[in-house]
Amino acid sequence: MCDDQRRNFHLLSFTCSLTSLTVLEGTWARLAQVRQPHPKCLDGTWVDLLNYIHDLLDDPKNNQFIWLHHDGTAGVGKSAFAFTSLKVAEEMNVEKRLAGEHFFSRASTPNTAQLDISLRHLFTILPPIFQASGRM
Amino acid sequence: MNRAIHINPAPDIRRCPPLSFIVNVLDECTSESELTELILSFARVLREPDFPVIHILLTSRSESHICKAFQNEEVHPLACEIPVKTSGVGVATIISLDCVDVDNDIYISLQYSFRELSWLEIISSFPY
Repeated sequence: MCDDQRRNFHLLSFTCSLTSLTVLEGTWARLAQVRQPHPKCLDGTWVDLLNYIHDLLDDPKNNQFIWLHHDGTAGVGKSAFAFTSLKVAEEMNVEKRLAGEHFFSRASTPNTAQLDISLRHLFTILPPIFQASGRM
Repeated sequence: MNRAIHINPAPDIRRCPPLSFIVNVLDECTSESELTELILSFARVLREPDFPVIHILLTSRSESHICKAFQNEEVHPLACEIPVKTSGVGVATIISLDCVDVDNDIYISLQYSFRELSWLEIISSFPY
């Protein structure tokens, strides 16, 4: 990519990100409404884990997968675990940094079809070079 | 009529705080092959050299097909694992519930529950 292309790409992707976030904000508000009242981890709890995740999410340089997983044994705190992720999503949404969110559920969203809608929204607004690299 | 259009120069997206995409409960996806394909697709997109910085937070049970997908050579270098366990010594990337001081969490939880109860008491004593 030459400098001009790179500059244009940055401008385009920045504009797209803002548009995307505005649309997603509406989606998030509707989702949050549907899920009300939803349990979540209380303010002031799971602080170490939340700080650890936020430090990773704030990394401005390297793209990364952050994979939070548990072995499913009793008492591992599976509910608190789920609420932690919900809390992270809420905080990212407040900071206008939530590009999208998806919940898999055997009952209602057991496959990737619905996730594809969110991903299409995120990636197809980016320049074609990125559309070619994904499944979209 | 001529209107002057002022366009503020957009800041470089790389100077903005990175965006996050969150996918919860991967193990509820019933198709193992679809899920593996999804994780690989994410990895391919994240590896694009000019892609704006974006982090993908994934949560799941540590099921074997998901662990295998994360061991893939395209995925592994990008992955930052946070295993949550009930026991064991915590190392840098492991949050072990045994090693975390949970007293404060329990205190906050009880305080919240008692507050809820006191509200119920006020409502139930309301004269109808």
